[in-house]
Order: sequence, then structure tokens, then C-alpha cells
Amino acid sequence: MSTAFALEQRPTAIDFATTPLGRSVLFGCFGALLAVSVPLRMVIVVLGGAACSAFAFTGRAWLILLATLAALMLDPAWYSNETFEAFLAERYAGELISIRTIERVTLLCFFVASAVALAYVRRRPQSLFARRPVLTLLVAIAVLTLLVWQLDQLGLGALWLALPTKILASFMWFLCYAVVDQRSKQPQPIALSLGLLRPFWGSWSAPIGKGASYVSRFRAEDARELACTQLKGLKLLAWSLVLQLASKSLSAAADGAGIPPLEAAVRAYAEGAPAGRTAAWAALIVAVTVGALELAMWGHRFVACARLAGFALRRSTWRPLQSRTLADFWNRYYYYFKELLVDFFFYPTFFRVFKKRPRLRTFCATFMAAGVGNAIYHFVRNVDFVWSLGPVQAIEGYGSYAFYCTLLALGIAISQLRADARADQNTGGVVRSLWSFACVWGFVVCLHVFGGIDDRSVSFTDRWFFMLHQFGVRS
Amino acid sequence: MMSAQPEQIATFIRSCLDAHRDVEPVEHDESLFLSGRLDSLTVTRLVVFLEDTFGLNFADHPFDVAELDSIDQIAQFVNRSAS
Repeated sequence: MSTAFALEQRPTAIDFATTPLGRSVLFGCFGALLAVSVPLRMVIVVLGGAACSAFAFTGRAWLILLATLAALMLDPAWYSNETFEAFLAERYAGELISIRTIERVTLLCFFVASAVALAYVRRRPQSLFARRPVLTLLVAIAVLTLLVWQLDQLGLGALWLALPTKILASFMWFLCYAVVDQRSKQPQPIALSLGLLRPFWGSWSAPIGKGASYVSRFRAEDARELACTQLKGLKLLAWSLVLQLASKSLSAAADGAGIPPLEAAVRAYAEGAPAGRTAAWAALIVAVTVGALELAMWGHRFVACARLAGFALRRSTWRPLQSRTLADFWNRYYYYFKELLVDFFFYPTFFRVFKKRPRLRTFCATFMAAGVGNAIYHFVRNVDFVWSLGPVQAIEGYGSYAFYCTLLALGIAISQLRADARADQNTGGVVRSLWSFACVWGFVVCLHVFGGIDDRSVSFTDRWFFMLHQFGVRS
Repeated sequence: MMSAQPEQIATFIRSCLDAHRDVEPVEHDESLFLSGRLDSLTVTRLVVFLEDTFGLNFADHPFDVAELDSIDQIAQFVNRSAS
């Protein structure tokens, strides 16, 4: 069955995809599929950027940068969320210049500042910023965030500082990868590093494709390899649409069956009108399933566009249902986020602590990545909560997610150590596989209550009591 | 610090692949980590192996898994560090 769809393994398909007509057809099909869920203007930018990246003989880095800037000008608020939009609307209604225009100008200024910063890193690789980009940027974002909040409290318009701070926080991990690239032995052109600050193929705040050095390693070397990569991209895009359809269908079916959204189910319990255990379990399972489908759908779309541009990147989500351990799940579910945490939290810890005690060493490094790094990433991503709720409430409201990170980190760390201990044993069998599946996904579903609801007004206590009720421990 | 013999490293990599139930043969210039054939947990096992066997200290310089992506690259990395 799988070979029936293996276009990239058919010599005739590959040969056709290397011809001018074949390339036109491939790009046409890709554009048509992409237009199902993306505005036409953005489709044109993605196709143009991909064509330049895949086929241009010279100036490729600059063309990628140009496509990235064009994509950002079309979608300047890619990093935004409801809370931040409400914050902007409340404080800056009636401005003569639209918020989107200000965002575009701020983004352009950010790119100029990033170019200067990367040039500085290249000239001074031993500077603090070059050696410790995560720490430096975290301190800068913390200072700026508190400054914006303080100015806002004093009634001084802080738009000029709030937007750059939010943008810096959203681009933080892209910038970290760019700094690492510029410090490497064979740095890529600064233009390419800039072009991959939220590249035109799309990304979340966790960079899909990491940085310039990583992406360059996956570049197709010749016409046939390029054709294979692009055909795989086309297939992946088609698969992302199937997942999108599945996600929408499941949401509609759940709605039709009267299953409440998870957040509503938790709130209903907190207000003394619980939805019933079966309905609440159904809400929980639907929330996890829809979340997984959407994560895979978006990740596939980003990677598909990168493949059209000639970069044979790995999928962001790869068969998570086949996970047999929590560590394996972590690797399969959201690959580029896991890589970010491994690169910036796991390795730095692993190489520095408890060298004589390997199990403790692995445990600490895993905890730093899946726990501390995970918590920092999500707090920084939604840094605007500090402005809308105030620093104390924003941190208090984050307690639930911190709990989620702690349990997840403990689970993954124990899973890693157990996997390490079993490394030389062959652990197979259908019953064992089913048991592993149930354990991994049972853990994920139960934990979702604490990490899957972004609204910080739903307290940790409400979520905790809700779960106790679900297990029959509390009425 | 010892110099690295590719066969010694190949034996270790073979054991890692076996642990992942990967019985396919591995070439000395074949990508191991970037291709996804081995995961980040195995990187840590490799690091411990290189520290214990060849006395390397990874805290001394920035870590890039791409420098250890094949048996040949690992051997070169060890010999470079040793010199």
C-alpha cells in the first residue's frame, strides 16, 4: 500500500519532475493544495521563495531572505495570540497608523538589529552574547518585559517597547540558532541566517529546520535528489490536508455529540456543575487527539514547503502512535521543539555535571531540557501575559504549566534511564506493545489537563480537583 | 589521550544500532544522527563512551552533533581532539 504512494521512488516520476514541464506541474499542484488553507498571496510568496531556493544559481541566501521578509510583511502577526491582540486593542485603539503597519516596521528594524548582532558575533566569537545567547536574550527579554509593564502601569504608552519585546521573545530561538551558526567553524552567510529567522516556509517559535548550518546539510545536491525531495514535499502537504480534515471532522463530531471543550469541562467542574465523568473523559481525549492532529498538520505543512525549497528536512511529527516509551514519544511528537531543548538545555547540562555518575547525569540533563527548558520556552513565548495580568499573577497562573513540565520531565527522565538499562535487550511482543501504547498515551492524556489549557485564569487547583474527580477520588 | 581506531568505534555503534533493533549494515561514512537512525539518547551514550575510552572532555568546546555523525567523523573528531 505504502509503495503505491511512493512517487519519489518511481524513476518515471523523478525524471518528469526534473524537466521544466514537470517542475511547473509539481509547483502548480503544490500551490493548489497549499491554497486550500493559505491565502493566495502567501502561496505566491512560498512558491516564489521555494523556486528561488531550489533553482537559483547565485544569490540564493539573499533570495531566501527576501522571501522570508515578504512572508513576514504579509503575516506580520504570526507570533500573536488572543491575549496580546486584546492588549494591543485596549491600549492603542484609535491610533492613526494601524498596528499591523507598526508591526511591519518593527520587524524590519528587528532584522537590521539582528544583522548587526550576528556580524558582532562573527567578529567577537568570545563575547558573552556569542557564548551564551540563551542566557543573554533571557535577561534582555526579562528586563524589557518588566520595563514595558512598569511604563504601562504609569500610563505611558509603551507600544514602541512592547512590540519589539514581543518580537524579540518570539524570535528568540531563531536568533539563538543563528548565533550558534555564526560561531561555528564554517559559518553560513549572515544573509542566510537572517533568511531563516522564521523562514518563508513557516514555523512556530521553535524553528522548523533549526538554523542555517542544519538546513544546509539537508540541501538536495543534484536535480534528481531535488526532484525526490520536492515529490516528498508534495506528498507531505497532501497528508497534512488529510490530517486537517480529520481534525475538523473530529471537532465537529465532538461538538455534535455534546462533548464540551476541555476548558469548559474544567470550568464547569470548578463552578459546581460538572459535565459528567464520561463526557469529561471524552473532552480530554478529543482535546489531546485534535491537538496532536493539528500539531502534525502544521508541522507537515512547514516541512513540505521547506522540501519544495530543496531542503530534505525531517518531519516534525513522525508516527507518534508507535511510541513505546515516553522518551520515544518525546522524540516523535514534536521533533524540532525537542531538538531545541536538547541543543540549548540538554547538552550544556550533560557535558558539565555529574560526569562520574552517568545515570544522575542523564537524569539532570533530561530534567533541564524537558522541565526547565520547556517551562522557559512557553513562558517566553507568551511573555505578554505579564503585561495583561501583571508579573505576580502571570507567574502564579503559570504554576499549572510548571507542574506539567515537572511531571513530564520526571516521566521522560525515568523512561530514558529505563530505556538505557534495557538497551541491550530485545523487547518485543504484541501485548507488551499494546501495554506500552496505553501507558504512554494514558500519561499524555492525564497530563494534558495541566499543560493543554493556555488560559492562566483556570487555576492549578481547579485542574487538580478536576482530575481527582475523573478518577473518582473526589465527588 | 588515546587515538581512535575506527573499528573500535564501529563496534560501539553496532551495539547501539542493535539496541534499536536496527540490523541493517552501517558504512563508515554513513549518517547516524542527522539521518535519524540513532536518537539523542544515543548521542549521550556515545559521549560517555568517548569520554571513558579516549578521555575526551566535551565541556571544553561547543558541541555540534554533526561533527560526530558517522564512524569516520567520530574517529577524526577523537584524533583531532587528541592532537
